[in-house]
Amino acid sequence: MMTSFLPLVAAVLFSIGAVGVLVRRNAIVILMCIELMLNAVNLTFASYSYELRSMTGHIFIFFVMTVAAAEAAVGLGIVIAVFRKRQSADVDDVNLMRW
Amino acid sequence: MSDLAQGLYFLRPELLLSFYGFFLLLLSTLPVFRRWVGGLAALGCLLTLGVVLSFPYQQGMNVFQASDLFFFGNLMILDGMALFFKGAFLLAAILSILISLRYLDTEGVQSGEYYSLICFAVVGMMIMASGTDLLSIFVGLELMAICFYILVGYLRGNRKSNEAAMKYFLLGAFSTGVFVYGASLIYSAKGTTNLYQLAARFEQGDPHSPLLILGMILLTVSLGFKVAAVPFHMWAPDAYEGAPTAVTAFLSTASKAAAFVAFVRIYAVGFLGMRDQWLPLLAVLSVASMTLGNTSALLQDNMKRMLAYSSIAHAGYVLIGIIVMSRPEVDTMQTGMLSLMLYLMIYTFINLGAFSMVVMLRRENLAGDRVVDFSGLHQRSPMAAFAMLVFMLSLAGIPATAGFIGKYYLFAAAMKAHFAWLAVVMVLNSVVSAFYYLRVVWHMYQKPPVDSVRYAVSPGLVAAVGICLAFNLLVGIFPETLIELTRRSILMLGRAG
Repeated sequence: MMTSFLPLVAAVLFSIGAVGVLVRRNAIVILMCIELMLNAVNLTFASYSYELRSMTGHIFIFFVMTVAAAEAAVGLGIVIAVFRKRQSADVDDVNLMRW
Repeated sequence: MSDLAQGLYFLRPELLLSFYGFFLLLLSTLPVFRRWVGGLAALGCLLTLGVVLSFPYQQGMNVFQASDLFFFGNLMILDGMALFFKGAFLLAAILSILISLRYLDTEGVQSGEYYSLICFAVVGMMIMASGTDLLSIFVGLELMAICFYILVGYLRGNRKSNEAAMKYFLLGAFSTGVFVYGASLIYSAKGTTNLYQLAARFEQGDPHSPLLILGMILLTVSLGFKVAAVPFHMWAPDAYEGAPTAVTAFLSTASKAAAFVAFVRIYAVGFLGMRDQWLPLLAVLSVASMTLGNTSALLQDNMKRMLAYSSIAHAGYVLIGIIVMSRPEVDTMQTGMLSLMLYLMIYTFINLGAFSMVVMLRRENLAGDRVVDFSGLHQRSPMAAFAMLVFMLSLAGIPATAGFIGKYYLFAAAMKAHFAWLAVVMVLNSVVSAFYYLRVVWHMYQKPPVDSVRYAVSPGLVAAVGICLAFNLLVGIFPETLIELTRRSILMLGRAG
């Protein structure tokens, strides 16, 4: 199977995720962009694992997935806590502290 | 012994503390025990500290063979540096728990989950301190970070705490993504994520591919976030100000030290072969952190925010230790390591002491986290004012305090490694920092009190402040014991077999 284009796809996915985190203002969308970044990482690991005939990448993927799930759980909890106080999940509204 | 059996044997502190954390969680469901959970958590950390300290005695101080130190298929290592930092994390956890006991009552969030989260965060840090593979460092880092996201937002009804948690979480999760992407690029270039194997590949003279350089830069960005180095520091002042003060104390000391252990493992072991590439990066981070941290701290009126900027500046100082480790000579490298370990240990005790005083000012309806809240402290409580005086002088690095010893060793290491210009920047910055530390002292001794509400003094707080004060004065005047201990830890350091 041809896998040489996969890291490139992953790089594009990662960039979309990273740009999304920086430009989007809704906390939920930012969370989704972070998930996109982590999935790009998984894709990179999987393709090179295949290319290099090594297991390390596969094992890394399992840990990344686990961590992503734990992070999403905590992150959504935090967003809900913020939403209850302010009725908004917009990061621009979260501005009590500056400088 | 098989690798698994030896691994479990070496992993005793982490295993003990994780089980203890679950035990506390279980215990906190029974109302009868709720009052005891905090004390039990401190006891658990103390027990774990005992297990950590028992390793050198069981093994004999210097008989470690490099190959015996690794466990779990080279994923982790138990060397002197790991033991040293595990001790530091546990001490920081104990002190933070001591100051939390009454503070959580004041905030109205006393619960067992808080203490078990602290235990789990310490487990994460301990895994990081032992990690010799990007995988194990990543897992430890995330265990620590996820616990801290929850702890920072622990005051659910408090808008500032919510906001701090949200900012810390979003930037923390982003930096996690950057870290693993960097790891995947390094894996793609070198076919391994093990730091010692990476070092070996460099010795065989592999060419530096652009992917590898990019991976290294991404890891630098991510670790820069974790230690709050400029320009990746934006989360720190907000997270420090909004978090419960006892959590801030823990976050600014233990989590920073843990991130620096990862820094040392990754840069001084794994990436040693590409030191010419990372040296300028870290030098820029260090100078920017020192300068911007100190100048921004001058402008702050909020004590927690001021200490946050001061901790950014201190991260800049500690980075000098890693820069020194880029020198090829073995003894220069050891000097860098010694200065870094000393500084982080000392900084832990100073900063925990300073934040304990902020906790003392949090009473009834007063937030007590502004600099002016320290006004008249000398008049109302001379002992407390003296303790705060020592902490402030120590942070500024005035002789006869522990902070001076730390700064002196970093300065000497930088000079020895021919980074005189970095040493000069550091000294100039220390002069600037003296202004804002001494402003607090001026408020305490020269201004009249601004309120008459009683200070929130509790036995736990007094014990924590007493320990930090004693440490600062003793190490400041008789530093030999601590230096000897640190030196021995470095001699136990495992080298690539």
